[in-house]
Amino acid sequence: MPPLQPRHRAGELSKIMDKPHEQGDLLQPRTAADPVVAIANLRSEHQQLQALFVVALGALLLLGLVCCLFIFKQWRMVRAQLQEQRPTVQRMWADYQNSSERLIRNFVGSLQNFAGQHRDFQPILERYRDPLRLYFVASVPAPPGTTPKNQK
Amino acid sequence: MKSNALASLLTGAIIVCALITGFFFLRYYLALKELQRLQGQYVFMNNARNAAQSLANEAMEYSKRNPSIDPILYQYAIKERSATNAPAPAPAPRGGAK
Repeated sequence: MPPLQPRHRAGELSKIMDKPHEQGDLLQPRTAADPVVAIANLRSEHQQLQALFVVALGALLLLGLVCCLFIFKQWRMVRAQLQEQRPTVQRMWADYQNSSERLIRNFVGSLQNFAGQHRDFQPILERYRDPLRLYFVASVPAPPGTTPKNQK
Repeated sequence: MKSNALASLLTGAIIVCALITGFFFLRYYLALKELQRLQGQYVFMNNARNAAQSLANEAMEYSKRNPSIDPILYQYAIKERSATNAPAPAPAPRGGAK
């Protein structure tokens, strides 16, 4: 026989309690039986909850394993990409710093000096100030022979 | 008791799994940061080279209007010197070599 639901039990009890003349007879045997039923019910519910908890833990573990596998694969992919690109980019960067960067810096410096003497070149140079800002000298010294009027 | 043991086992497995995931995530994050740094360097180099090339092209265009920029262009081999400025080549021997 399946255990009674708490609501049913409460309804039954209230029916019994509504009959005052039978109360003594009915309550006496039930008080002895109720704890047994209640304990059985509690045990059953506890087992169900425990089973649910184990299932939930299993699901969580599965989810964690999937996440772990995903992150692992991502890491391997990025690591392979890194191992492939690192030597190339490092070599390119070293070459760039040894040759191109110095050349660009000197070239921009020369053009800045030139633009100091020829103001019509200034707008052309200004367009490249943003992409080449690292190579622009902060202030160009006034070239000899230029008047303050020319410098503006 | 059996369920309790199973739950404990699962909880332990979840903790171990979380730790391993955290370890891999840290490695992944560090590798990704380094990859981004390398790509940033590459993009920076390309941008600087392209900008310098464009600037050189504009300077070449400007030299058509104002040849006083030519010495700078010659200095950086952006513009080739004209034949009149170039040193004269050695004359070829007449009658061929013996």
